[in-house]
Amino acid sequence: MAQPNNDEHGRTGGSTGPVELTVDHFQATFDLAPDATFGIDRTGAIRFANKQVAGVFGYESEDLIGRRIEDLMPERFRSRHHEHMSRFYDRPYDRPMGGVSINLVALHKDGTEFAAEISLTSVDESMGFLVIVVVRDVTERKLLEQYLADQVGRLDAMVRVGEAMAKPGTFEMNVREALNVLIELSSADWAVVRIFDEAKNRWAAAIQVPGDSNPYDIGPREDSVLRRAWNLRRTVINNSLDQNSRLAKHFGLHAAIAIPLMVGDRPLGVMTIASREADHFTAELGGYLRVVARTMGPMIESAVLRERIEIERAMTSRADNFISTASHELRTPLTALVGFSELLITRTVDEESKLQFSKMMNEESRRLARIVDDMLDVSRIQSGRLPMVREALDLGETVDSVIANLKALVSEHQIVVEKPIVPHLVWGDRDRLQQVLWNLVENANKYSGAGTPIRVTVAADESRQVVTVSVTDEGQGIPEEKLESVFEPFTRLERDVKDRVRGTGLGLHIVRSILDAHEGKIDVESVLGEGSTFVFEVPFMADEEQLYQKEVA
Amino acid sequence: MPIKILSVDDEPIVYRIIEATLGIDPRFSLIAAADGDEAIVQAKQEKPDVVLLDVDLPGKNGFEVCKAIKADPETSGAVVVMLTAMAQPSDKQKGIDAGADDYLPKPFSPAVLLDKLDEIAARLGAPSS
Repeated sequence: MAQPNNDEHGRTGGSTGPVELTVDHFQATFDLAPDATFGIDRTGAIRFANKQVAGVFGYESEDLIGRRIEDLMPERFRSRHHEHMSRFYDRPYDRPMGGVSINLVALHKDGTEFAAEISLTSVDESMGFLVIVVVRDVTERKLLEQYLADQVGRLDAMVRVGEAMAKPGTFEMNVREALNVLIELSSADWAVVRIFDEAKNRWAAAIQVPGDSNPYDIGPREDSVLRRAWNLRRTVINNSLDQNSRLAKHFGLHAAIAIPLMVGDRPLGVMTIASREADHFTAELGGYLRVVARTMGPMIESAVLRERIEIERAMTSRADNFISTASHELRTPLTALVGFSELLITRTVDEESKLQFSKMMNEESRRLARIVDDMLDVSRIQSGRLPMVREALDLGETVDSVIANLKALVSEHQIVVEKPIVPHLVWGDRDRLQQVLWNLVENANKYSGAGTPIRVTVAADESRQVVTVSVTDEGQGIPEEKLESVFEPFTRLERDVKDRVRGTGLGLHIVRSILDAHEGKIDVESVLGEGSTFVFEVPFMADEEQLYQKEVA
Repeated sequence: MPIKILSVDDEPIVYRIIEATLGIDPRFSLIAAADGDEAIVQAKQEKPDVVLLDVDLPGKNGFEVCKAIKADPETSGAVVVMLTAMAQPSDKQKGIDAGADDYLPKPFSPAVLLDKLDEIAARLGAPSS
C-alpha cells in the first residue's frame, strides 16, 4: 500500500489554508448531518464516523474507528470493492448522492442488508483521511418506488386489457391480446379464457395463450382449478398443481389461479392464468388479477354479444341468399306445371301427348315437393328448430345400419367398410347422422361408374378428440373450382342434367347443416377423373354429456 | 323457310315445354343447346332467327352469351329473348345492357310465348297463323 504523501494522483502536501482543520472539527460538523458519514483513509480503514451511524448501521461511532469500510457491506461485494477503491484513489472525483442508478446495498450490524444511497467526496490528505463517505438508508424509498412502479404497471396493464377487448377484431383475437398482457404482467406462462355457452348448455371453445384454441375441446375437467372457480364462483389459487392435472401434464405448469368472469352476479366463464413455477401466485397478485377480471367481465359479455350479432347478420344474409336462390330453383318445375297444364286446358291435345304432359307434370310436382321438403329441412336445422334427439352413439354402428339399408339401392357398387374399433362415442341425433351417411353414399353412387368400389371408413382422432367418417368413391371427381361450393345450396355437377331423376341440389348442404348442429364439420378432397373423398367429423362425447347420459339412464 | 328458334336451357323440361308450345306449327323449327358455350357454337353454325336464352347456365351465363351473339356480325341479327327465373328488375336491366331484345320471366305461359314469337315472325315477314 502506497503512503499518503507520495501518491502522484492524490492531493499532496499539507494544508495551506488560514484555518487549521482537525478531525474533531469534522466530527462536530458531521454529527449534525442527517446521514451516516465516515472518513476513510487510503487503506479503507475508518478514521472517523458521525453519530448517525448508530441509526443507520447499528454501531456506535467509536466502535467503527479503525475498522474497515468493507465490514459495512455484504460479503459478496467486498472483494470487488477493493478494486473500486483503488480506481477511485487513482482518479478521485466527487460522486454525489442520488446520481447513481445502480442499487447499492449496505450491511447492518444485525446482519440484515438494506438499500443504500452513497456519496463520496475526496478531501485533503493532511487531515489523515482521503474520502468522506455519506450513506443514507433508502429502503423505504425504494419500496415506495417499487410499489408505485408496480401500481403504474398494473394500471397500464388494465388500460391495455381494456383496449385489447374493445378492438374491432374478433372476440378470440381480443381475448388473446388481453391474456398476453396479463401473462406479461403477472410473469406467468399460460392463460385461458373459457366461456360457458348457456344457450347450448356447454363450454365454448377455449381461448388459450400460447397455442391455438381447439374447437373440439371437450370442456374443462370437473376437478380442474377452472371448474372449482366456476362451481364456487370465487377465485381459486393452486400453487402446486397435481402432476396428473391437464395443466401439469400437457403444459408443464405448476401453479394456477382461476378467476370467475362475472357481470354483476351472473357468471360468464372463467379465466385461468398459470405458471411453470410453483408458488407463483401470491394473494396480492391474485387480488390484483381479480380486479382486472372484474373489468373484463362486462367487456367479454359485450364482445360475445357483438360476435353473436355478426353471426346473426351473416345468417340472415345467407338466409336471404338462400331464399332468392330457392325461389329461382322452384321456378323451373313451376314452369313445367304452368306450361303443360295451360296446354292441356287451352289446346286440343291427342291422347299420347296428354299422357306425356301429365307424366312430366307429375314428375315435376314430385321434384317440387322434394325441393320444398329439403328447403324446410335446411331452414329448420339452421334455425335450430329441428329438434335433435341426442344420445350416445357409436358411429361404427350407424355406418353398419345405413349400409345395410343402402345395399339394395347401390347394387352396382361394392361398398367396403373399414372400421377399426373406435372406443369413443359421440353425442348425436341417430336419424340425422344416418341421413348424413345416406346422402354421402348416395352421392358416391350417383357420381361413380358401375363396378367401382365405395369405401367407408370410421376412425378416431385422439389428438383432436373427434370421430371421423370418410366416404370415398372412384367416380368422375369434382372440378377444383367447384370444391369450395359443393356444400352451398343448389350446387350441382354437370352430370345431373342428364339424370332422369334430378337431385334437389340441397343434399350436401343439409349434410353440412346437420354436422354444424353437432359441432362437427365436413371436408371434401377430389381428383378429377379419379374420385372424391368426403370426410366428416363429430366430437367425442364430452364429460358433461356423459354425466347427463348417466342421469337419464 | 320456317323461323329457326334456338332454345338455350340446362333444364331439358324447358325445351320440352317450348317444343309442345310450338306443336306442329310449320312456321317454326326448334333446336337446343344446354350450356353457354354450346349456345354460341350453335348460334354461329345454325344462324337462328330467335334465341330463347336462359340466364343461369353452366359455363358462360346468359348475359355473356347474349353479348357474344350480338357482338358477332354473323349472329347479331338474331332476336334474343331472355327466358329466365331471375325476375328482378335489375336482371331485366342486365339483359337490356347485354343487348337482349325481349324478356320473359319463368314460369311463363305458352300462350304469351307464342304471342311473342308471332310478333317476331310478323316482323321477319313470315305469314301469320
